[in-house]
Amino acid sequence: MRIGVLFSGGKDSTYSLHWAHARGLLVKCLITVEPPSSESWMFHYPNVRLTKLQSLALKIPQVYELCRDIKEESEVEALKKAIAKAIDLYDIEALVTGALLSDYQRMTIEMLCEELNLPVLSPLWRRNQEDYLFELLDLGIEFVITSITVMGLSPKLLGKVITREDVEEIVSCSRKYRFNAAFEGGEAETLVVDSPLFIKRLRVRGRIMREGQYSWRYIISEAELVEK
Amino acid sequence: MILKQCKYIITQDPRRGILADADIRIEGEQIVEIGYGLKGDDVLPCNDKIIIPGFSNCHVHADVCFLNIDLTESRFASEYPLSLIRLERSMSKEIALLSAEALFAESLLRGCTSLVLFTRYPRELQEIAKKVGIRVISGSLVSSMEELRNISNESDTGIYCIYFNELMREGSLNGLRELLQRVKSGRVYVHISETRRAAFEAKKKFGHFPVELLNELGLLTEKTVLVHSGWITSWEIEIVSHSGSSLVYCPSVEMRLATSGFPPLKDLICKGISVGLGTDSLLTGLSLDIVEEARLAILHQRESYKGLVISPKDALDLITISASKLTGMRLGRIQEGYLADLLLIKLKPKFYGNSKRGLVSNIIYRLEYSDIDLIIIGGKLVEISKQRDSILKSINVKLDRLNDLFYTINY
Repeated sequence: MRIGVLFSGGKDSTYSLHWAHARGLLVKCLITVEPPSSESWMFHYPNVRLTKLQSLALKIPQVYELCRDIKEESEVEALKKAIAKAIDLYDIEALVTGALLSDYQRMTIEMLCEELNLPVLSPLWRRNQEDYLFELLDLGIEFVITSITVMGLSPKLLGKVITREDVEEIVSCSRKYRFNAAFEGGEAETLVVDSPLFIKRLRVRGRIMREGQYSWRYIISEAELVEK
Repeated sequence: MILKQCKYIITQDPRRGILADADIRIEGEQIVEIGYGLKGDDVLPCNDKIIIPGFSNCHVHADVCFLNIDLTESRFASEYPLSLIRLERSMSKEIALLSAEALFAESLLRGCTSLVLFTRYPRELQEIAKKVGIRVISGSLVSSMEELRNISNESDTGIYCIYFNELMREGSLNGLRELLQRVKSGRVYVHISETRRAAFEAKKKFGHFPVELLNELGLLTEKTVLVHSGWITSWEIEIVSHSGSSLVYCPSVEMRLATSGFPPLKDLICKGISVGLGTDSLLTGLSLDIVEEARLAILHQRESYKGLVISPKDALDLITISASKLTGMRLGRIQEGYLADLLLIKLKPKFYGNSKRGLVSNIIYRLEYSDIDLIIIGGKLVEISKQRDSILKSINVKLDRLNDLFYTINY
């Protein structure tokens, strides 16, 4: 089966890409929508452009769609356009998403794919979030946290490759401060820098900036692909 | 009657206790006492038996339940549920009655003591059930606005199975609101959010997902049971949990028709929503065996959640105590005051292993219909093991006749 992966460059869409690959599905393209600002309803914003480098690192072509309007309908329309392009260009037979728990996101994608008559596979949907975080590490998916918007998470986690000890800390904090350990509610955003399917590794440099009482961002100033 | 020294009693009480060597006293239809050393005249020794509540099958399309015709599965699935509705409409009364007789016999053989079924002949099927001695809730099928308009309480049983998507396609919001008032006083089973297309059509036409819309129409009450609902959203689950409505899940249908649907049982149970299981029909599901459906529920949920969710104990709840909340009857539990619908299962090494701890798990995974020795329904004893051969023969005779009748159907 030929598939496209809805790809934001974070841990969830990268995991789903690996899931598809491990099941023998033919990953024909990555599909990414760049929203106009961080106020986006559906998409990651700050590092979305880095998906272009990730696409090169993965040697998988990318369908990249710009959305110029912040309205919810415009974002859905941009996504629909991107998926339709992927169908045209790569003849994809299904879409793979990294939807975890958000039915808003999942159902929005499902509804527009119903119009396009395209099945959707969401391997992470309703999975145990804590188990999933550890599985990411077991699979060799390396990611950094690029933003934090929740009480309890230490800004020291920003910009560094997350280790097993970090995941243990995240899980412990999520239980204490009652947030989703896999950040499904937007508590933090991630960027994958390496994984078994990456031919090259993404090296990023940046600085930590405080934006509010519990809000921090890792501003990436340099990003490049390096040999593994 | 006293069931004496039962080797094990799987009570399904709030503590899910398992009693060893205890007695059960039954008077009339009810269990009146559970204890040790009970005395009486009518005693049934049960020291070689496991006693468990009779199972409930909460959703069967009775008229088509044995339908055996050559149809293209891909076409049937792509047009579902319209394809099912068309076939149901073309079933004759003779087919419905014969199917019901075979269904009741088949259900008893497999330990199912209560059934919720839907048919074009609800009163007639209720009469057959009385004769057979199986507990049946029999409701009418409502698959169009015209059928909804024609509902008359004289000819039906006050229980309805509504194909919500088909009504929604035909009606306006106000039209639906007005007509659905006709069924509001009854118990309403609603086929809803079965497919992605159904969810899409509701969203496109009314701006709401189907269960949201049902709530908007005032039809989500304690007497409402959502059927299938593999495409229910998380916020609709919240609405259902506040409304007191229940849900019937038919895992074999979801898998066989590849609806990609998955009512998330772990979340539904956490929210306090009562869930029962249904076998639907041989046309859409795999068998009419509710224990088989319970096994499939475990497998389907574990595969969908990608984790070891839903235990055999949860699965047993789905076909006993949780199911009883859908029927509104005091069933599914071995406790004083509950109806005496029980299965007496032969004690075999495959069930108890080295302790009673694995008992429920072994029964769910390994029960075969030949393991059921006796059945009690409403206090009446059925010697199922002695009658098994004659029941099987009579089912085959009916299926032969049904196969002849299926040739005459124009579909």
